[in-house]
Amino acid sequence: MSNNRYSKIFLISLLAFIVSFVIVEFLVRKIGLTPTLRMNYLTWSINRKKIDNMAGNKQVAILLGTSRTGANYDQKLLGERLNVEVIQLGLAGTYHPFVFLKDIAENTDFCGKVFVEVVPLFGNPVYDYRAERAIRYYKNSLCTSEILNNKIETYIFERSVLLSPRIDITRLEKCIFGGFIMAEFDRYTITKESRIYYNYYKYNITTPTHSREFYNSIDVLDNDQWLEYMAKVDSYGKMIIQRGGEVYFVRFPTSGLSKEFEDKTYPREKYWDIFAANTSGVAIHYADFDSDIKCPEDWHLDWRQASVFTGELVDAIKSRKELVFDTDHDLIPNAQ
Amino acid sequence: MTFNSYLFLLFYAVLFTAYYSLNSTKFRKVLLLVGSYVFYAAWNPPFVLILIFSTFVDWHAGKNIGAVESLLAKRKWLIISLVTNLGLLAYFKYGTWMVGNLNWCADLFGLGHINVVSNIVLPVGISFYTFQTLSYTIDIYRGNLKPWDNALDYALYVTFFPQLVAGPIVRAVDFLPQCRLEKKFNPDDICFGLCLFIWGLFEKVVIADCLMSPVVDSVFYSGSKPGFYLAWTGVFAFSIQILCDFSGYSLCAIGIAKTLGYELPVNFRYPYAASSFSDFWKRWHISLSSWLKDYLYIPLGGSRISKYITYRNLFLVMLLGGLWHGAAWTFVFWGFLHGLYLVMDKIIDRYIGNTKNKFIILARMAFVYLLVCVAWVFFRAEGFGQAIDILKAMAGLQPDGNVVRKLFVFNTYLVLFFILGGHYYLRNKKFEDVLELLPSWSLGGIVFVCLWLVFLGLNFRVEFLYFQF
Repeated sequence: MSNNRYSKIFLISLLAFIVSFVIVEFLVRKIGLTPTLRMNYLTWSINRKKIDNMAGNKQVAILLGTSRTGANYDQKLLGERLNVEVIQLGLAGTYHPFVFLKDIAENTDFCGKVFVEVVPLFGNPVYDYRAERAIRYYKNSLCTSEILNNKIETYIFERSVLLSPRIDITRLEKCIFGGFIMAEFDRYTITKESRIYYNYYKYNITTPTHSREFYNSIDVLDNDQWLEYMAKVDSYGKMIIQRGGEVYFVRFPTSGLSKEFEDKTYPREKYWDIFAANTSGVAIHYADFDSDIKCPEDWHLDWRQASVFTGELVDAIKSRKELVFDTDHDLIPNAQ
Repeated sequence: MTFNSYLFLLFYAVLFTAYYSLNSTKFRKVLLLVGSYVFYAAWNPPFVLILIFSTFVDWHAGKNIGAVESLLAKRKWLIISLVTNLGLLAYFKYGTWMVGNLNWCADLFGLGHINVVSNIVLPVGISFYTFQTLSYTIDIYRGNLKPWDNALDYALYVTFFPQLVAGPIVRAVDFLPQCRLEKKFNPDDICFGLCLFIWGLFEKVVIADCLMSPVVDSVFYSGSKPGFYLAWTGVFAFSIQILCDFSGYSLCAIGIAKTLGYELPVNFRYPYAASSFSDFWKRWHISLSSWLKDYLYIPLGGSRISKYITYRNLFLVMLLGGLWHGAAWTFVFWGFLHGLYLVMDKIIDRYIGNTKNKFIILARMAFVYLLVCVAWVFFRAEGFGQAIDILKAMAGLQPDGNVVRKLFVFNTYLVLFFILGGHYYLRNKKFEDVLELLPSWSLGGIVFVCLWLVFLGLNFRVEFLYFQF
């Protein structure tokens, strides 16, 4: 090594990086991006950890599901109207809420309220592994340093658009094969500590996220397979109900292609109504609400409609004067 | 605490500033030692006690081996060191697995189950620091090293944070003398170390985590049904992921150590350009393979006794090497396959020998790489069932299942092309020499691009694969 070569190289590169970072940060803010935070395994695990210490606490509601759980509830409103602390356990992506329900049922003494997102196409156990990975992360990797790191990360991410939402280098596909999205404009999430609020579609994106090809490529379970799977799900719900908890299975609104797909492959009378009539928990379907809620991109509600939906959901719960959590019969006898 | 976290960057910035603010070498070492304990405790504080215990036992064992005259007494202290270290390793790493196997056997013969705690938490890095401390006592026993006279140096040798949890496995004879040297503030060395650190993070964060991990996960999950193309793509992707994950970590460790004035040994030397399996093990996880060679293979007789004893020794060392990686039969089988490859190597060498024919060398490199990939299937698979399904798919015996995404194909083969090409080009060169040949502007450009990509990829964090070992 000679002439301080590496000092010059490193310091000039670092300076160039800092300057370019500041410039790009300024530019992306100018076009309307705001720092946002996303739920990941770590934040999910931090929320999950809270539930381990909540045995006997009925004033808590946990939300299990996917990105739609994050987007479709107005958590503040839900917490205020039900007088509960809301813990969000939804993960963006095809994360199977039923695996989360199994985890809560078998590994905790939780006896508060549980809202489980029911998405017919996720009745397919092929997606279970993703949620299992989140649980594995919680069990094996959550440690002091990760929690501390999350605090620093949260502080930084709330201040930098470039880092959160990041320019997604895993999305080379979009860049190379068309439709390049520099960053996720439409995902707007605010996190304080580990409590996550999703307010999707701040920019009111109205393009469907999934194409017809996507829906056509989904493996659809037949009626018996789906009910068999839901019977297992129900058995986990029953475990929570038996220790005094309340379990709500919620069908979220869908529109456009998504609704077309669900109506065609999972018609309500063949699937949902049978499940709703036999589940130990309380089944709530968006189609029973008065308002006509639409998803701007077929799949998630925007932040304004999330409030409307949440209000109606709470009304639906409160209008049932006596909630019936019937644990005496099985959805499908002996299905475990 | 992992290198690819903001917490580490903060920890390192504070430690680095404090380190060079101190003038006394002794205080600097104390600071490094305390910092290393904090680094380790950030993961699980109580496990620091095991680290301290292991340090204490081996320090005294080493001292006594050196002090006593009789071979019997020396042997007694060596056994204390071996039993303590291997006992801890056996309990924490293999306890659950061994009980599982015993219960399986008990089921076979209709006997009762052994009920012990089934979920023993594995202290991170235990396999690494155990091997490190063992090498100290064994070297003293063999007379290759005198007991070190400074307990602080020894404690730092065991706990030095850059290499504490995932290597490289450093030998006392290489590290301890460095503790005596005064560490001067050398900006060029520090910046070189930081460049290595950034390059290591690039390998880990960008290549292993962002690009390869999604491809690998799409193949190796329970319920996956890959067809021919997806299976091969997934296995190639894993070969890249494990390389970049581990060599990235090693490079980060070497870089960080360099900024503090310490030199750590190179752990990877372009392994996918190996022209034989013995060459592969001289290039892959060098600090482990040389440890196994010096402390296991050679004491067993190495290749000195007979052809068949050599084969037996190769198998034994690789089986144990496999078991070192994890408490599962799939790891043992991975070791068995490498033992088989090494024996095969010896036989092929008899016919081909040291050929200079470029075509044969290239063909052998491809052959070695492909067989290494086959072995990776067992290393990564969640069980034999999955491994066999994937191998069947690779052999075209499975009907096409999950679809290969264009992104996966593009990412995997693009990176594979650069890695194999790079390894071939660099196979006989030193990394530092190659850097010296590059013009400053291009090196600066690489650092600049890596900094951008690393920072953008930092919130896509996956733990280092080798932490579980």
